[in-house]
Amino acid sequence: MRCAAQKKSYSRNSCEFHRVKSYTAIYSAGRVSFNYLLRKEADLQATLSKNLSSVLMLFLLLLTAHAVSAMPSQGVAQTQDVFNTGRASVLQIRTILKGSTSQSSTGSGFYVSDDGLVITNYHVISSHALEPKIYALEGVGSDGQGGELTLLAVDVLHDLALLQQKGSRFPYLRFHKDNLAKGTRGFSFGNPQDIGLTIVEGTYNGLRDHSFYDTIHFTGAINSGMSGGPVVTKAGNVFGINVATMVNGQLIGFLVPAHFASELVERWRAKPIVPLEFQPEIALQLSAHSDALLKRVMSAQMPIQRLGNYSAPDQLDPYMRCWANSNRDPKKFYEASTYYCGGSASVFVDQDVSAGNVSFTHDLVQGDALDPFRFGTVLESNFKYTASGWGEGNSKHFTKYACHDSVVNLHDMRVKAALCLREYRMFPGLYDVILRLSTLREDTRALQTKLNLRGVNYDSGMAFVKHYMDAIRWND
Amino acid sequence: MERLAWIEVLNRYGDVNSRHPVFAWPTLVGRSYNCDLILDDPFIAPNHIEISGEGEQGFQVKDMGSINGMTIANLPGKKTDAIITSDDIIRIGRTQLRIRPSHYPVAPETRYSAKPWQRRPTILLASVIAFLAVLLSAALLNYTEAGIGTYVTPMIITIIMVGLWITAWSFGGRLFAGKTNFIPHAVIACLGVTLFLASGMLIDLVSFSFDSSFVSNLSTEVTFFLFVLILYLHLRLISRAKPGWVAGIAGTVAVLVMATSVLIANILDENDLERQSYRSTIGPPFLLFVDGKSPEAFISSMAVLKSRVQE
Repeated sequence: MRCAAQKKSYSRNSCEFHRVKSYTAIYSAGRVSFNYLLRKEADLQATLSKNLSSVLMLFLLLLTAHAVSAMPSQGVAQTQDVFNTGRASVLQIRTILKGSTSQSSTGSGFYVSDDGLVITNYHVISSHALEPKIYALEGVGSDGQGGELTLLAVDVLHDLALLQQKGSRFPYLRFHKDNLAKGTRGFSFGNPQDIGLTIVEGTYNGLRDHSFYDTIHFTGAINSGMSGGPVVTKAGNVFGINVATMVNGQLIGFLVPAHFASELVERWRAKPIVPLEFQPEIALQLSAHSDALLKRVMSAQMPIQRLGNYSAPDQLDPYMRCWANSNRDPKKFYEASTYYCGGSASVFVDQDVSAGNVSFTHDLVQGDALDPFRFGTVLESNFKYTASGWGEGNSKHFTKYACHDSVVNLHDMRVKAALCLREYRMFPGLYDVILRLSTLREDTRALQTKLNLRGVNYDSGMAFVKHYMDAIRWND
Repeated sequence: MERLAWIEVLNRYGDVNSRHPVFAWPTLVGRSYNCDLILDDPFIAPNHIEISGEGEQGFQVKDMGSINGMTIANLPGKKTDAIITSDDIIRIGRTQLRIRPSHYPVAPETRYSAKPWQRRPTILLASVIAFLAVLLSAALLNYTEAGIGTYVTPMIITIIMVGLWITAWSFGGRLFAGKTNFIPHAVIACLGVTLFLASGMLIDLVSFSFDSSFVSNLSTEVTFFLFVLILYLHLRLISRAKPGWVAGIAGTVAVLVMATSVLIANILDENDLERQSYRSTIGPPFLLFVDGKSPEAFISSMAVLKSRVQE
């Protein structure tokens, strides 16, 4: 069981975020499989995997796993003070399989009011939000006292959730209101690897670059299981919430800025209505997210890059990052230059599902040593369906892809195009869209491009596809 | 003495094992030495049947009181008395007999052809060359990186598979028809595989050239038709059943095989994209004879898929 669960956790490799269920050793095994899978996808993209893995992040939710972690000791008197002030406000949040007492995952959270409002990450409680009949939530305080938690509201875009524990006079934490200077010391609370409440000292490093939503870069040893835990100033005020770490970074952690959490609390105070089901609410948020994303990347004129004699879309927005690679294998009778653009806009929905992302790849393929027929075979192998790159996830979450193909005229250049679509079962109206194009302008040179849209509305998705296709043209 | 007729003893495949002349009617057939035709079959009575002369309707055959009796092929039940023609087959014990009068007409002489291309070994050689040529061209089309092994291995596997296929049919022929028919089986198999591969490549190319999904959708029908044809030809060689029956069996087997393969593919690819759901063949641009759609038309035709996904 354990192996199967781990395998599942690493199959989300096409997504930028990486959530880890267990300990480092297993995680590095996962990276091996990640690299392997990418190589399998298309030899044209083999070398890209290195770049891609550098932005992988792992969520700090600890799914049931048993491992031992050694935390560096913090021997500063001030840290002790912060710990003693904050410890009573932090709790461990367990997702319990209903009908049993076994936890299926654990994360952290903290009280934000004396009437028991609790802030944590959405991804800590996603199983409960999507399948409330199967999973229940339980909060365990630092004194070991447990209590049932009720889900009140979610903010999927910033990975936040608001819960409530029955009772009163809870020791709560306040939010830090002012801006922090880079280098400010911060103290992260949480329950890493389910080994007990821990405090970690680290450094506030400003906002992360290339992120669609504001994310704080925090340098500190935060670990799986600390998701949702507060990060406080030495005065004990919360300025961030633990959310993720970078896969192959050292002590690079990410926090959700606290103002998103205080806004969530205020929204709830203004309109305290708990939906019967959270799925429609989440669907609305995802839909708003993807529309905002596509609107933002389409608002400016499409940035163009020249690849050989072709024009193709370039980095659409500062949040995106692009890499280029040249693949010159002396064994091959062709060579390909690959350009990949993607970004961390996708929103975690469930273990195998994320939504709201744009990424694309251009391959400039040159096969002057080949005849046009064999060159066609090369193009075909990159154009046709391959096992990965289509987004993982099982039939529980997605319908099958339906595809359509045709020869299309783009500014008097003929291209072979295929467009595929699948729907999210939990969120009707939300789609994954895949576009593949291969130019038919030259006998032994071609531009091939793949566009992946994750979790978008049909109309805005198609509008973007049109926008994208319009940017591809031949220049004499 | 004038020879009136021949009694032919047939083997279980219906081929003539031996012929015995008849000089006088009636003639007695059995195991004892007073018979005119002695058959060493333990299930035949000492005096089993008596055949009397040719009348207007044929020969009259009479059971002389055997335990196991006599049957006539294609007629129900045991007969004690029957009028048969020269094409009917009498079954007594485990032996089959046929009576042919001396004036029975035979087919005219077949001209022995001196033309080399009409000889069997030549036809076989030509089929094998066609098969290898198509196999090689398919491999060459994929020859896009150095290293012969990648291309040779599938070729060798295909050749071995075809060899096994021919051997199996020849063995079946030996078993069911008494004839190996190696060369005809080999010719059918080689030409069949050649047609399979060539039609596949042709369909892909034509479908690309005219951007026609209709043509590419034909590939299932063509594959099915070729498969039925090949099975039919092989089965005809190993069975004496009527052509209609053979065609029926070939069709049934082909349907079963294709249904099974679709089923297996579905099980294996349960969550995957259906592999053929878009056409991926890309040929040389100069072979593309049609103009492309506008991007607007291409995207708007996705609306159909949107509803299909929702099913």
